[in-house]
Amino acid sequence: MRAELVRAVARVCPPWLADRADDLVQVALLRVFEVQRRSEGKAELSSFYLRKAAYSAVVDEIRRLRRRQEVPLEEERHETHPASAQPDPERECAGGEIGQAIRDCLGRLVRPRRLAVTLHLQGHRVAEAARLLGWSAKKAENLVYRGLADLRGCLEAKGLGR
Amino acid sequence: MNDGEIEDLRRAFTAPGGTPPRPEDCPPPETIWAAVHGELPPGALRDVVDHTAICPACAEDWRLAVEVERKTAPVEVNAGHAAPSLLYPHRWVRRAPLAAAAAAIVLLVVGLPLVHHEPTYRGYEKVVSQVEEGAVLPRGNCLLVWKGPPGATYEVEIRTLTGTIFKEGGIHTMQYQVPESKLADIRPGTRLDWQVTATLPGKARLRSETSTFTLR
Repeated sequence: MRAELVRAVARVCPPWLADRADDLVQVALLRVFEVQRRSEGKAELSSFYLRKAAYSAVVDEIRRLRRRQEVPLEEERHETHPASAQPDPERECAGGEIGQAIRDCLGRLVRPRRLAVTLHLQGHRVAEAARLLGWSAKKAENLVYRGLADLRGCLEAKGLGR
Repeated sequence: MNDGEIEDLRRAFTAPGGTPPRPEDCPPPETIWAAVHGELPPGALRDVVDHTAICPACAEDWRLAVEVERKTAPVEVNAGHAAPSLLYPHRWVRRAPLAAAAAAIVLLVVGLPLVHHEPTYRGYEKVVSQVEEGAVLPRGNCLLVWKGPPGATYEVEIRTLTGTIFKEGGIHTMQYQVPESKLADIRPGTRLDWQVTATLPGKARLRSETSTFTLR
């Protein structure tokens, strides 16, 4: 089981967190043992469950680092790529501002359109978004279409469209 | 909107920066994992998606969960068709956020058609699933049936949330039994999307609506 957890953590763990991989395996292992203890050994420890445990351990660690702000996470990621080891703060700032503007605008969309566009921006295809949200593909496509139009109008109103 | 254009907008959405809401409002990782895997009730799932719309940190956690699943998804049978990436390749991180933002603005200004619609071919039949939507199919007899224009060649594609797991073309009948071996790595109870594309004698293509079945 430990070997499988090591593999699962390796899949989840971003390169900039790789030096903590052993600790994360240990955390995930403790959680699995705890679940086993609570279920009196009856819990099914499938590979799916182990991936979930690894994911939770890694994300908790990422969140802990975010809270402590002990390192600028994005810059750490850049450090894994020598070509971009010196991020341009001005460009990062501008990119962050546009992202924030998009999030502000998403917050103003009517909910179904916001849900559809958010999943679309997260990289999901229309069919995937439809399945997740329990809609027909046609409905999801329509909501993505209208939601993107609303998003564009909102960004233009913020002076970002022209 | 083509893939490159939508990627520009996505890149701006995922660019570093922005103010996250209060961390105590963030759903736990297990909840995000469950949402990505379709294991939450609809109301709870929508709450999580709503949160990722305004929280860059949880949006990133969501993408990480999808990426994990993508890495562990079964390899697509047809090597010529790479599974579509739900996430942004790591190289995106290296690209300048400003360039991404500028591209997104250009995209928004020029007002390109927002969603690509499949062309329709008047005079031809549609391709329509003949399997009840949401049906539970045993992996040992996973028979997909559809109706479409006679004389066409068909291609069947089966997808999970994270991408294509199976694609088979060159089918001349209007049904296809998915080999059990191709479904071996799919957990029982998983909902799968399937879609059929017909290639007509004139090379025009017709695509069915996406249908869903649950694998037993």
